[in-house]
Amino acid sequence: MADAQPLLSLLGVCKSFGGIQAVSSISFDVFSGECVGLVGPNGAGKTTLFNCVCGQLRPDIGDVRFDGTDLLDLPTFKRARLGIGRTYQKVEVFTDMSVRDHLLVAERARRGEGRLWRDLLNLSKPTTDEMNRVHATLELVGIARLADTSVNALGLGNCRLVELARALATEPKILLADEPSSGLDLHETAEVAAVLRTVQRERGTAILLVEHDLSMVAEVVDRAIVMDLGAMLAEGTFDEVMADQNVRDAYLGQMGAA
Amino acid sequence: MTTTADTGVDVATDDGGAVLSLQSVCAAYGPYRALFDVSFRVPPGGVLALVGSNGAGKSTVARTVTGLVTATSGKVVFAGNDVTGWPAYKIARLGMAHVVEGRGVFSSLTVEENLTLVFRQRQGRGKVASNLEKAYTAFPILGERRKQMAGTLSGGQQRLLSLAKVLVVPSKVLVADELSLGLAPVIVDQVYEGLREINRNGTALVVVEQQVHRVLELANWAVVLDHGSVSYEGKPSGASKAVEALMARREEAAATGAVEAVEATIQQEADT
Amino acid sequence: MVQFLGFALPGVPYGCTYALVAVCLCLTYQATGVFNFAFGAQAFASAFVFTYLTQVHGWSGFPAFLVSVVVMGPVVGWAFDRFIFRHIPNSNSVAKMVCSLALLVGIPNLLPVFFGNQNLDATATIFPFFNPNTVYFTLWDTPINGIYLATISVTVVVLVLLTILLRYTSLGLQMRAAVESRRLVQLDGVNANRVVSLAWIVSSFMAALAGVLLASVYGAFTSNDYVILTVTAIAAAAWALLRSLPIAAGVAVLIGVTTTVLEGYISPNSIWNAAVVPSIPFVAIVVALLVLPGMRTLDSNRDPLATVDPPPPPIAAASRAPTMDRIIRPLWWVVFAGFCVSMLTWMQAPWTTVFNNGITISIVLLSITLITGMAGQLSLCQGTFAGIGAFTAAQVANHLGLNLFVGALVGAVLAAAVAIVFALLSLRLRGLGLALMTLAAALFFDATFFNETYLTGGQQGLPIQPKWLGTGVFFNSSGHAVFLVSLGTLIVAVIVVMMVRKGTVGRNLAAMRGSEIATAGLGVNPTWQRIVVFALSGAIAGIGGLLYSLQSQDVNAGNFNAQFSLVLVVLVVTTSVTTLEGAMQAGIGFFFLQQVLTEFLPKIGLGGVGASSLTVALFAFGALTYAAHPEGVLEFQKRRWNERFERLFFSGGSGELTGSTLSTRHANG
Repeated sequence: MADAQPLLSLLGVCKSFGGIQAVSSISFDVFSGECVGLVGPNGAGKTTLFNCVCGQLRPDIGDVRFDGTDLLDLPTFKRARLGIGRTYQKVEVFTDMSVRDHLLVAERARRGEGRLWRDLLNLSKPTTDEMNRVHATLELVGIARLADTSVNALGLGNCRLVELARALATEPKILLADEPSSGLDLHETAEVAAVLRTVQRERGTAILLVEHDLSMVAEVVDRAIVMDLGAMLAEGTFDEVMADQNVRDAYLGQMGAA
Repeated sequence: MTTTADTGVDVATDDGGAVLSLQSVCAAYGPYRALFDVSFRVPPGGVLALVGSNGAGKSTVARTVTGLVTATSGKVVFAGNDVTGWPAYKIARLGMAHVVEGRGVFSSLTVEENLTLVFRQRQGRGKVASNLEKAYTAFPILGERRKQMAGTLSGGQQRLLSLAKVLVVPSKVLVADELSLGLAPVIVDQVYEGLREINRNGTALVVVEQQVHRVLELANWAVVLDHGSVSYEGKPSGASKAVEALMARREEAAATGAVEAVEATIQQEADT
Repeated sequence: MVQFLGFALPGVPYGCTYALVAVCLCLTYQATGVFNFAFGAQAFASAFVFTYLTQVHGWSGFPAFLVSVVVMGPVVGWAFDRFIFRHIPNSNSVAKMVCSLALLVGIPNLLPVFFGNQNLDATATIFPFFNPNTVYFTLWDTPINGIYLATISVTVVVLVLLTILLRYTSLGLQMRAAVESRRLVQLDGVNANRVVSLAWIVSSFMAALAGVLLASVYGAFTSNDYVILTVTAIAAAAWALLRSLPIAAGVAVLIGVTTTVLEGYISPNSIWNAAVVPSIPFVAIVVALLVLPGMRTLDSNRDPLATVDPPPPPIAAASRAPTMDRIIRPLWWVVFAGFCVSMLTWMQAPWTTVFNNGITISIVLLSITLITGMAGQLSLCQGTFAGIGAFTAAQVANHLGLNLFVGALVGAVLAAAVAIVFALLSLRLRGLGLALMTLAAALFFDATFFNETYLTGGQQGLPIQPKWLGTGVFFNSSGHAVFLVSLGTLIVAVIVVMMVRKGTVGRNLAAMRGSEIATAGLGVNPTWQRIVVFALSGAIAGIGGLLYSLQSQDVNAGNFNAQFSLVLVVLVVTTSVTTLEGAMQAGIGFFFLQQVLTEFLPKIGLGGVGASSLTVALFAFGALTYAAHPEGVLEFQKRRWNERFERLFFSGGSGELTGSTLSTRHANG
C-alpha cells in the first residue's frame, strides 16, 4: 500500500436488477501493486461489481474512480485502455482462434483501433517487437508451448490461463480476475495461483481477485473483503476476516465452526 | 459394500442386486472420445462418489447414465432394464433424476412453473399442489419467490430449486453433478443435508464432485476417474489417496514439461 | 369523428389478418425457439394449393380446405421439425435464421416447379358462417360485411385458444421449457422431441389456416402480398417482444387502422401517399428495435446443456494436406487461364452472359462473406446496397455525363454511407434483432426510394451506357469489356477481403464473433469495428451491383429488392460463407446451373418448369443443410472428397481426431 492515492476506488456502489438488490452500497479501495481478494458465494454480487468497474453495467448509485479518472461515463473499451484488464467467470475465449492471436488482439487493442487502410496496404503484420512481447507474456503464464494451438482444442484450465495471458498482454495496471479457479482441480488451481503471484511480483500489477476457494485466496492475497447478498460483511487481512463472527455465521457455517 | 437400503421406493434390480450398473461404457463427443471402458455398480440406496480431476470425464459419466450422451459401446443397466441408447426422457420416467452442473432450471419460467413441470410429469396433476407445498416447506425461500422468474434467482437459490425438483418426489437413482460448485460453505451444508435426506428416503445417489473430502464423508463407495477411465474403485477411504497420487503424477509431469507426452501415452493406453 | 371512424374501420379486417399472423409468429417463437421468417410463405403455399384445387381442378371448398389446411399444414410442420429444425443446436441462432430464410425463399419458388405458373385469383371463399358479400349492419356509415365479422371472430378465437395453450396447459408449459433446453426438459421425463414436433404442427396448421382465410380477404394474392403481410406481422410481434400474444394482436390491429386512416387523410396525389403508407410497418419495426431494450437480448437464453453437442468441425482448407495443395493449386491456375482465354475468344452468349453475371454477383456475395462470414452477423439488405451503388452510378453517368468509373466511385461511397447509417441504427442489435432491422431497411428502400420514378426510373429502370473513359469509347460495349472490368474488380475485391481478414480489423472481428464482451474488455471499440465492416461491405456491394446491371445495360429496382437480398444470403450460405471461394462458387454456380436447366429442362419435357425458380429452390435446399454443415454444404463435400482422395493416394491422410484435452473442456465447460 505504497501510494496515498488509491488506484481503484469504489464509493457506495449500488446495483439492482428488477427490484432485486444485487450490490448494495459497496465502498473499498485498491492500491497499486497490491492483491485484494473479494470472497463470497455465487450470487453475492462479485461479478456484478466487476461489471460495474469494467463498464458492462452502470451502477444505479455510487462512483467508480480509477487512477484519478471518473469511470462512470466511459465505455468498456476506454476503461480497458486506461489499464483495467479482466478475466471472466464463464470463460470468454475467441472460438477458432489460436492462442497467439488472442494475445495479438490484446497487444493491438492497447494502442487503439485497427486501421482499415493499414490492413489494406498490408502494413498490419505483427512486428518482431510485438511478437517478442507476446512471447514474453506467454512465457510468464507458462503456456508458450501452446502458442499455435487453437483454443477449441484446449481444456478449461488452459483456457483460463489463455484469458489471463490475454488480459496481461494489455499490460494493465490492475487485473480483475473473476473466479479463475472455478471448475479447475487442485493442480490447475495451484498453477493459476502461482501465475497471479508472479504477475504481482514481476510486473507490479495490482490484482482484484474474486474467488470462493478460500485456500487459494489465503495463498495469494494481501487483503480480503467478504461479500454476501450484495453487501460487505468484513474487510481486513485474510486471517482477520476469517475470524470475524459475521463471516462465520453467514458464510462459513460448518467450516467456520470446525 | 454395505447397503443402506430402505423400502421407501420400490426398486427393481438386476441379478447382482445393483439398481444401476455400467459395463465397459465408452462415450464420445463427436470425434472426440471421452470415456474408455468405465464400469461400476450402485446398489439400491447406496451412495457412489465419482471424483477425479477436471476433464477426467465425470460429467460425461453422469450424462451417459441419464441418457444425455449415448454410449458408443458398453451397457448401462438401470432398474433391471438395459437402457443403453434410450432417450433421456424414458430413463427419467423409469425413476432417474439428474441435477445438472451449473444452471439446471428454466430461467424463463417462474419458480412455480419449474416445479409444476416436473411434478406433473412424475406424479401426475393431482399431487402437484401437495408436492409444491412440500417443496416450499423444505426451502421456504422458494415459496417466497414462487412467482419470480427462475433466471433472476441467485446461483445458490437456483441450486436449491433444482434440488427441490428432485427432493419431493423420490426417485430410484439421483445423479448430482458438481452440486457444491461456487456456493458459500453455508449453502453447501444445506445442499449436502438435502442429499442425505434424499438418500434416507431410499434413493441411491451418484455424486460427482471436485471437492473430494465432503463427498467422501457421505459416500459408501468411490470411483476415481482419470482421462476417461477408472483409476480407482473401492472404499472412500482409499479414494483420497488415489486422487493425491494422480495429482502428484501430474505435478511431476508438468515439472518436466511433459504433460502432452503423458496425456498422449494415456490416450494410447486407453485406445489399445 | 365519424369521418375518422369511417377511415379507421376498414382497417380493422386488415389489422385482424396481421394480428392472426403476428400471434402465430409469437407462438412459433415461444414454442419452438425459431423466428419463422417462412411463416408467410407457408401461408401462401396453403392458399395457393387451396385455390389451385378449387379453380383448376374444380374441387368444392370443403375437401380443398381439408387437403390444403388440415392435412398439408400439420404435415409440413412435422417435416420442418423432423428434417430441419430438430438438428439445429438450441444455441445456434444464426443457423435457425438461415434455415427459416431458406424456406422463405425456397417455398414460393418451389410451387411453380410443381404446379407451373398459374394465374389464380382467390375468389373462392371458405368462410363457414359469414357471407363476405352480405352487409350485416352499418356502423358509423361503414357497411359491416361478412369479411369484418369473419376476420374479427377468427382472430379473437385464435388469440384466446393460443393464449390458453401457452399459459394454462401442460403442453404449453413443456413447450416453453423445451425451447430453453430440450435436454433439461428431458431430464424431467418430458419427451422433448414430441413436444417440439407438436409445436411445429400447431404453428404450421395456423399458417395454413391463416393463408387460406387471408386469400379470401384479399381477393387476389401474390407471394408479395404475403411478404408485406409477414413484415407487418413481424412489426407487431416485435412490439410484443415475441412474447405477449394480446399485445401483438393489439399492435397489429393498430397498424392496420393507422394505414387506412393515413390513406384517408393524405391526398392520393400527394407524394406522401406513395412514401408514407407503405413504410408504416418498417418504421414500426425500426422503432420497436430501437426503443425496446428487450429486443437486444432476444436470443440470450443459452441452453445450459449446450456442451453436450460435439464441437464444430474444422474448415476444409485447414485440414487439407500440403501435398494436395501442391497438386490442386496449379490445376486451378490452368483452369482459370483457360476460362479467361475462352471468354475472350470463342465463347458466345448466352454463356458469356452467364459468366459475367456470375462474376459480378460474386462481388456482391463477397460483401456477405465480410459481414456474415467474418463478423458472424446476418445482414439482409446487401441487395439494397448493390442497388444504391448501381442507381447512383447510372444517375451520375446519365445526368452529369461523367464516366462510369467516377459513377462507381460515387455509388460505392453512397452505399457505404447508407451502410453506416444502418450500422448506427443497429449498434446494439445482434443476431435476430440485426436481421430484422436490415430486412426492414431493405423493404423500406423498396417501398420508398427504389419506388421513386425520378430516382430509379420506376418500372422501366434506368439505362446505363458503358462508356468507360470520359466520353470516348475505350472499350466497346460487348461482353468482353464487361468481363475484363468485372474480373478485375472481383480480383481487387477478393484481395481487399483477404487483406482485411489477415489484418488487425479481421482479427478483431473474429475475436468479436467469439466474445464481444471480452474484445471490448481488451480495448477494442466494437462499435467502430462494426461500422468499418458495414461501410466496406456496403461499398463492395455497391460496386458489384453496378457491374451486375452493366451486363443488361439497365438498372431496374426489381433486380435489387429485398427478395434479391434474401436470395443472395441463401446462395452464399449454400456454398460457404466463411471462405472467399465460397462467394465465387455461389455466384458463378447459380447462373451456370440456371442456364444448364434452361437448356436441359425442355429436352426432357419439363419446359413449363421455370429454370430460375428451380435453381433458387435448389440453392434454398442447399442452405437448409446449414445447420448440419455451417461451413457450407459445398465446403463440406470438398472436405469429404479431400479426405477420400488423400486416403486413396497418400495413405497418411489427416487421420482421426483424437485428443483428450479437447474433450475435457467440452465435457466440463
